[in-house]
Amino acid sequence: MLLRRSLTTGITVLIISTIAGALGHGFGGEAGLRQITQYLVLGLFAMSVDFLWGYSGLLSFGQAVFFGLGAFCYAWVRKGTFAFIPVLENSSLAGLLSAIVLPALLAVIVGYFLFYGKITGPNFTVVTLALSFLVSLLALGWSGVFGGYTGLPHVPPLALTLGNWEMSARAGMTSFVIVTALCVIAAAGLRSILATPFGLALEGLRDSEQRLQYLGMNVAQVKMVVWTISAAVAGLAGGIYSSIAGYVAYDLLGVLLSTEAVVWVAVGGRGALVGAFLGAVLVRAVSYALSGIALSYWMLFLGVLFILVVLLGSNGIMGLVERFRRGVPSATGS
Amino acid sequence: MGTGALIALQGLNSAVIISTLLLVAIGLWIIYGLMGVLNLAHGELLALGAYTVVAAGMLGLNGWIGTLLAVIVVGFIGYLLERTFVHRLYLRPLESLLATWGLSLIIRQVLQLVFGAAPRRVSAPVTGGVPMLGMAFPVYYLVILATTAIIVPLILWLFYRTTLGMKIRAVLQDREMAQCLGVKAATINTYAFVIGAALAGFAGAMIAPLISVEPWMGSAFLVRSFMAVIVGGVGAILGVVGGSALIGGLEGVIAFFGSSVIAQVIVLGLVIAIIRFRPEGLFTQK
Amino acid sequence: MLLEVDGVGKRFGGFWALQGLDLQIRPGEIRAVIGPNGAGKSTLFNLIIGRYSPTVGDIRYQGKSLIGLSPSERARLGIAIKFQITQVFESLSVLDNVRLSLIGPAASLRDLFRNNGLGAEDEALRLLDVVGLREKKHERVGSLVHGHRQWLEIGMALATKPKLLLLDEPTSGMGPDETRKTAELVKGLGRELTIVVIEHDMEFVRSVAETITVLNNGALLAQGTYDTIKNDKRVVDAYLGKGG
Repeated sequence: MLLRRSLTTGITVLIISTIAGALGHGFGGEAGLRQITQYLVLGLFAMSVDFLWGYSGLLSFGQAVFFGLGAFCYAWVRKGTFAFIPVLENSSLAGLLSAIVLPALLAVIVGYFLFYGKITGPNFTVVTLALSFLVSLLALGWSGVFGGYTGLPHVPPLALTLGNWEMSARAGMTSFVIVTALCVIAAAGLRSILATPFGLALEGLRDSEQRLQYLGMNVAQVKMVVWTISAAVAGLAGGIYSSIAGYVAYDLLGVLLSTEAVVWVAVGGRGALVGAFLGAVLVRAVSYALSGIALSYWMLFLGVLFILVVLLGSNGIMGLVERFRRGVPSATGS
Repeated sequence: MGTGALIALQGLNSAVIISTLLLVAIGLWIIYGLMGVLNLAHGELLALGAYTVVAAGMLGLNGWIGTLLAVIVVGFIGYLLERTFVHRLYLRPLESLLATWGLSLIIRQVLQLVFGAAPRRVSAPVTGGVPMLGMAFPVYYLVILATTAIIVPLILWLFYRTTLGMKIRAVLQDREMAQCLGVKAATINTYAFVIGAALAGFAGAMIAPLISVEPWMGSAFLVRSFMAVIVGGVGAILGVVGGSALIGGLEGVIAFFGSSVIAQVIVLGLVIAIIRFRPEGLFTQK
Repeated sequence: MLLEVDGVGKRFGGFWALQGLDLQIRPGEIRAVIGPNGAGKSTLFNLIIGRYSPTVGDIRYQGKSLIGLSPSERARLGIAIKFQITQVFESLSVLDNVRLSLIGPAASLRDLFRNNGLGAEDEALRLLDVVGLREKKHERVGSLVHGHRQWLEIGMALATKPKLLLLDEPTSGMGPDETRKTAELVKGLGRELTIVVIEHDMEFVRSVAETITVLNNGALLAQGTYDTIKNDKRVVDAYLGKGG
């Protein structure tokens, strides 16, 4: 059961990635494929948001803090900022590892105060919003480390060496394959976590935190764990993103990206990792297709999406899929 | 200038920061504390107020009229928003977050399209300084202090001493019961939302001469006023006053020694730490 | 004594919801708590489970004070509750509700990540048999009728293997048939664990409880068997609204 679910999720992510990659390559050649590869990484980021919001009911407006920190970690390591520490000497693997570990550490610290301080509901959301807002401001001001407005350019791509075997993701196809593989593994991994008793506890948390408490569960601890896992995944996504984009700046930590990720999940469907993944790829692809309009009216586009999601009240694309599967007509008479 | 005078002047500056913050935070609190809608577009309502003054200035109108217009315009926008979609969001906290955030993005974009992204400067309706401790303390600062000193008690009076205030609080305590008593919850909600919005517009107009007016100026105020509300405690209006005093005061003191960004980050850290140990807020009873 | 409530008072603002309450519950007892609306019955339960902390007084469980323990710690000590307004996991199936309840108290983090039989289906099904909901196991809780939700929440409480079970109005919204079934259920459970039940249905109270505690205006009014209570003039007055 566990294995089958993880496999299904992994394979669905693989199929979506392949189709998106083929379309991107068909329309835009090498550049199109690169573009799609970026969207896939954002899809991975979206899954981390869904894990937190869709499954556990914790709506964060600050998830980009972990994504952005991951991105900067990879950039710092690859640009030799940490070269004085022998282990962190300009290797891709060290870059990605630090992109996972540092955000997770930050999550533990922030989470301790938020969850043991019983900050719940809208207050949780706005505290995370404030966090994202201020961290991006801090990064903007601290230009020696974060590069200010210009950010850090020329971040080297992934380059892995195993014995004699060497692989560099300079080519579009290689990085597409690596990113797809990582997305598949991460999706299957998250799905397998959801299939454990812990996953059931997360769904309970979403439905009724109180009931869970009175059943004897240590709710703060459960929240800490899901928050940290989701930060680690977001950090990993950020690390990969900076390796592909080759450029990181303060806005990767900011509120706009944090909340855009929430829109991806809402459009794709809460509580379905695949939906979140698809939502991110679609929203980005559609906005690119409309780029003339969507880029200069980007906030308008996002804002309208937010309001539509609430007013339509359905559960995004996955909600439609579910309806279709059950054969219920979308407009019920009675 | 002596240390004593410097401290006194710093105190006055802090009082101005606190006053502006309080004007914003009270509007946020009315909508959140009373109605359960955390209005993430509150900062943008403030920006709309500031831009109304900008627009009034372009039309050659005087700053006071601009301020009055800001109250009316933003209050009216608040009315439209409440009637069109905010009224669907009461008691649906998460959805109200999503929708009002969408709204805030739309307003920001519209402001940028109409007025451009470049920062605007607004001159204060009164200029000149009052000689104070060997320095010229701007008259406009005194106007802000005086206005806050009038507005806040006025709001308190409105909520605790008038029939409308009583009805608003009744709806807050028990919707059904209030309805039984013949209070029309829907109308009362509209009133409360419009008051909150008009206050944001007013705050924006008052603040406009102090800072550069930009389409995204609202975010900082949203974050700061939210922190003021939450650290003071959502339960009572005096909590908002205490929270604003604490946040504004801390920012003033820390910014004096470093940058204002660092100050805000440190204050956020402190706020989170405070909530960890007093989740119900500093100024409310358990 | 399994549970001792010792001089407990709870004040909300200027209003004492409970005042100077003493109460002892023996192990294995089924105790009914009755009283008019606003007598402080639900407040008493909320104090025992830790939603509120008492303004004055002490609550001891198995000889140790509960003051300062969180709700989840109390649940792990074996105190379980069915709320007056049922609190269940709306989007989960009936079966998953019980499975999650089986997981609840045992879980150290490590246990939660292993598939080591925690929240096993057969154990959950056994509990659903006890409360008579096996047929509904795959239904979403959101679609259950009121009476079945009550039974489900009792089943969930049982899943935490409690020593003390608190039932707040378990028969509200039930027809006579379901009420009788619930009485049978409670009596059956009473052979193995201690139960305190808040109820308005006097027939139900008579059939399940040996001792009845009557609260009025936040204080103890009377205590005894059904027959003593029934003939107590103060109780009759309280219910007729003549004040206590």
